Amino acid sequence: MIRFDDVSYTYQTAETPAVFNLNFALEEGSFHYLTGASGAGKTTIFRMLYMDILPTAGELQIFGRNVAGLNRDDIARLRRRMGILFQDFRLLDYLTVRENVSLPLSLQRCLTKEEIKCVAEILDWVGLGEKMDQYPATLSGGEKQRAAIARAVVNRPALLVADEPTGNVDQAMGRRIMHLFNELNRHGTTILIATHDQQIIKDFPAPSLHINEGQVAVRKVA
Amino acid sequence: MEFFKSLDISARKALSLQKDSFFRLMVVMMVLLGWIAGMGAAGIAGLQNLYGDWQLEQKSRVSIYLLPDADAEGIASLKRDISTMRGVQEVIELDQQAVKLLMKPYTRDDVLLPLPRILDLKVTDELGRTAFDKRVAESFPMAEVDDVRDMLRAVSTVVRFAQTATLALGAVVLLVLAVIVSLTVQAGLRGKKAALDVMQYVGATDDFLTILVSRQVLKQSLFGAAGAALLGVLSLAAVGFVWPALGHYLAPNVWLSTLLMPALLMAIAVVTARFVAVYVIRQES
Repeated sequence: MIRFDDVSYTYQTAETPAVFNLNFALEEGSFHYLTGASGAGKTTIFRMLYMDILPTAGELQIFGRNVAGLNRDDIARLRRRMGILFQDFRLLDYLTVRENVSLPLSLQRCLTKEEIKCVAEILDWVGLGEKMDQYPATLSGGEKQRAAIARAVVNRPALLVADEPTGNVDQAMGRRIMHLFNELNRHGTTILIATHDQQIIKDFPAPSLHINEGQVAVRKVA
Repeated sequence: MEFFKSLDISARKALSLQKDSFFRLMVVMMVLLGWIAGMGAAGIAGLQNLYGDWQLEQKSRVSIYLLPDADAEGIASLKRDISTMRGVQEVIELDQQAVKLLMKPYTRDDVLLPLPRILDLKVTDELGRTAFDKRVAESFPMAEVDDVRDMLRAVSTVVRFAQTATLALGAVVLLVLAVIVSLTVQAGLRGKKAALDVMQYVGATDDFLTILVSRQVLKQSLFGAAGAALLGVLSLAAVGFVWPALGHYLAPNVWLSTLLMPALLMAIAVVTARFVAVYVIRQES
């Protein structure tokens, strides 16, 4: 599903690459953590995965397509098959929770009755069923995180990339979120989670891609 | 067709520019500019009607002024000869009552001056003045030929200049509108950077985002154009009411110009918005 072949990325203002010669693959339906110290290159890998930036060297294949040959429309269409979960949630303050979550489904037409029902079900699933008509400003950090998760999974993505999804919530909420991810994974979604939280990795074991000084090493389940 | 497809409220709200005060002001600007442009277009059309009527009236008339003592036999002979000339359609000698009326502004009632004899000709462009003047001079060397067609050329130049100046003003109005729309859309979209990012991350294409913006501009400019057209129609009605003499020249083309100019401005606003939106979306991502 995802394949990095000798992928490097150098930012325009930098002399050395942020990541270099990355070689790893994510199989369909797999669950991986992405670990590493701050500044090791996790965000760069994430940005390459959702095609915010493209590799400056090597070949990156997403859903079997080499990203180097994609135009803007192709990238947009590939992103519809992904769920992206940002550390800072990126919910739009002036949309209700329901509208924020509906956004990925609203890109082609008005929502069908089934889709409206699906949004409500997903919000129930993340425990925000009763707060769907509230605005993000009225939600707690954990609720915002769950609203962002609902938005990321509402279009049943084939791939979910999550940046520190438990970073802004307490331990109990972190565990609840991880249960949600496991359930999604059981339904076939490929998941890659960037995290520093060793307790989470211990409690929900899965292979890790450990990035150190711009290079990735795959660690099996402990 | 994509443009008119019904879109979900969450997408429309996400990229709504309605909260931007400059964007809301676009309606007012459209009304104002649409009204100015509509009045300009109506002015051009009205001037064309006025000038066209006057030109039709004048360009077919040549008058020959003869001395009061011009002999009737000579006049009859001249009438006979010039009637057969190419370009002359009709020759009438004005009766003394008509001449008196014509001369009234230049004479006093208490002074009895002998009145000139006037031959009024209806002519076409084919009339050759050299041969015509020669024939008139042969019979009546002191005769004056009054041909307004030379003056028509001068008047025509002035009318064309006025129309060109109005067109130039119209072009300036269009340019101003394009600049206003461009700046408004740019500012609005840059203020929505977070929404643009999120929508792109969830898979919105450039076309989709552009349509969302263009539709909002269409809506704003539609209200603006309707207001401008209404204001234009009311203004023309007022002109016709205050100056009834001009009413004759407020032909359908004048009314149509007033209605079409705001529509043209609306089209320009939407096209400008589309190009600017594409530019900003690509620049911001």
